[in-house]
Amino acid sequence: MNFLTKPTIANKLRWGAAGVIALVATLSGIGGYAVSTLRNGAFDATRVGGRLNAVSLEIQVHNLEAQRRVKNYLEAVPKLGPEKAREEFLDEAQFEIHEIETLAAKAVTLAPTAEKRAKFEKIAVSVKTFEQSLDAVVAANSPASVEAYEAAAEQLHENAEDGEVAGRESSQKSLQDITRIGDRSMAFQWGISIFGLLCAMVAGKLFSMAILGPVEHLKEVAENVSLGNLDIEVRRFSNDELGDLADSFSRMVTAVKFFRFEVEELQEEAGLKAGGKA
Amino acid sequence: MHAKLVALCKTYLGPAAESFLERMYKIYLKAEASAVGPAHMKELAEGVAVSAIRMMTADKANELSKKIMALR
Repeated sequence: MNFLTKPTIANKLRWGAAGVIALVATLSGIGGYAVSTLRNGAFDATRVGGRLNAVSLEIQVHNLEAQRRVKNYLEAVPKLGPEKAREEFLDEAQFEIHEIETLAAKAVTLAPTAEKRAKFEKIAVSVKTFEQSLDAVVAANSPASVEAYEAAAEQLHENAEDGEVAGRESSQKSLQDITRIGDRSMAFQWGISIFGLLCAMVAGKLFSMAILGPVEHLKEVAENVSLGNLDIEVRRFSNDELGDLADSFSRMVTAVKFFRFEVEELQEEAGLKAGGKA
Repeated sequence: MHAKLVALCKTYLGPAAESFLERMYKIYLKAEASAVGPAHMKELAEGVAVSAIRMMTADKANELSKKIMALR
């Protein structure tokens, strides 16, 4: 038996302390893991939902701005002429179209599901159609080209709205995810805390029984013997110092009992002799 | 042999071991301590099993008796 496995009180205290430290470390680790999971979940949710929502709103803003500028261009062409009208309104519209293309590509990478990804891919396609139809209007400005442009604008507008809805849904889902993760983490933390408290109570009770139980018994033995009651049995509860102390008490009580019997016998003999002489 | 018996009985009777054994020799062996030998162990063990119960539990008395018997 090596130093640490001997059943002494000191080793029991050492192992008890080690157990408490291990329990606290485990609970801390679990708590830390729960917090980390919550943080990562919230981070992911914010990154995806929040950003996608922002990008989809930006697309809509740029779409409305592009269409407004094209409308202004078409109205200005008869008054200012094509060149001046282009300078005034169309360059800005091109900028807006380019922004929509960039944002749609970004949204495709951010979208968390295939369904949402498809919506933003549609925006990317329809903005190209929009651009091509706009080029045709600028080149020819015929009723047919204007009609085609208006159809393309309508399609882009619809797709941008779908994208906005997808972004909003992502944001709502992110909030729901964060709430769900938060609730789960809170329940987990409560569970771990209660479990830890119960473990600590049980460990404390076992530990006190291991030490205080034998001490209480020996105290009871000493009290009984000191009041003259020698008929009490001394029990050995454990194989440690308290067990050895119980053995010592047992020997002392046995010795006292023997000496008392001897004294009683001597008193009897003395009584008989005195009776005989009388 | 007496020294071995005293050492054994001390683990059960403490300071009363010597007095207890001398009493047992007187009652059951009718001999002095110096005369006690391996041949006496059976009789002594039987006597201890009966007398020790007055001072300790039956289990301990039987245990002491068996250990005395083993000294033969």
